[in-house]
Amino acid sequence: MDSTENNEFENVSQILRSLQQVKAPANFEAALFQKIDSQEFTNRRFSESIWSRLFSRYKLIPSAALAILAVLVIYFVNIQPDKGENPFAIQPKVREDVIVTDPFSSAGNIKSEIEKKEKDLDNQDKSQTAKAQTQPAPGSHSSTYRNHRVNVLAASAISKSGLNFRHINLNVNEKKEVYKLKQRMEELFNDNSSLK
Amino acid sequence: MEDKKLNELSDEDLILEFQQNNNIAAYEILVKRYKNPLVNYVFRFLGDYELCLDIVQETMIKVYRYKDSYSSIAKFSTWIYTIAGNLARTEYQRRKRKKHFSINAFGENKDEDYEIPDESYMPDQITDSGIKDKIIQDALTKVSESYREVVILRDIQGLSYEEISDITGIAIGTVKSRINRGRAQLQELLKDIYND
Repeated sequence: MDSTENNEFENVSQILRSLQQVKAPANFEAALFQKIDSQEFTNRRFSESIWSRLFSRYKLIPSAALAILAVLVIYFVNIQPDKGENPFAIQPKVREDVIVTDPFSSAGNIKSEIEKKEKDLDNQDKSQTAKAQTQPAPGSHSSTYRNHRVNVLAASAISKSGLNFRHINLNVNEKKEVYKLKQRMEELFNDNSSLK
Repeated sequence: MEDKKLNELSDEDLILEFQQNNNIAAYEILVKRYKNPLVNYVFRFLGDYELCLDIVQETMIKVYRYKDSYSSIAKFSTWIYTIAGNLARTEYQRRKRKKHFSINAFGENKDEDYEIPDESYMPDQITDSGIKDKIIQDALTKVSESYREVVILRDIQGLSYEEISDITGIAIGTVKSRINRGRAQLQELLKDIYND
């Protein structure tokens, strides 16, 4: 079949074969290499300019402005006070400055307790002083160990378990007053109990 | 490598030399070998000489830039013809899309034909081979694109069916049938100048 078809169209094939060969011009290679060289130059230039294009001032300035704006927005949003309290920033509630003593303990017992506490604290003080002489423990009051001991003495009758109390610095007169009041309270309770 | 030795190398060896050693002389020899056949092929396909030069130069540039994409499994001629054919087809499609109107639609009566008479030749006055070539070329450009390509590769470029099948990416059977159909169309178009 192939041969018959070829015979049928042999004349067409002959006509096509007789066509004059179209050739490239004499300067074809020169023009070609010129194009290659210019394209290589363009490619190099293009690859260099990619970076310069990315970081050109025409693109960098608006991008930087946008970034600064975003930072400012975030900053101003963050500094507005929260409506709700930050649980980690809440200071523990301070109890009222009421010194509560044990109603059933006698004045003598209170006194002996104070003396006992003072002894213990003296021993403690000596050992702590040996370790760190000038710097107070972090988070404590700025008072010295001596003041700290005084504060503890002042509140020594208070049961500390579960309480949220504040140390109060009492001067000598105040301490006397407190001690008198305690004694008075003791007497009153004793009187009441004897009446019953 | 000396130029004399390079000239004796096959196409595949030349491209290998260009790939491995970046030997421009090897590339130049390939350009010399293929510039005329490719110009002839692309010109016969598109019918525009300036355009065909651009396409063939573009083909050579692609060979230069993408030399490493050639694998020695296929013939070099197949590879370079494939590149040229793809570029030519792309250009053809692009030009085809640009033709937005047909002058046949201008008449009031749709049956009216406004085809411009071709006064470039008179069948009985053909003596100049240049004019004959032009007529054949004009007829060739009227043949369907898919048939035209294979007819040119077979009857003008003298390639085998297998090579045409590799270049166009279609089966050999389809190649043969398209060649025959293309020849048939051409025969019809050239019947005025063809004398049995």
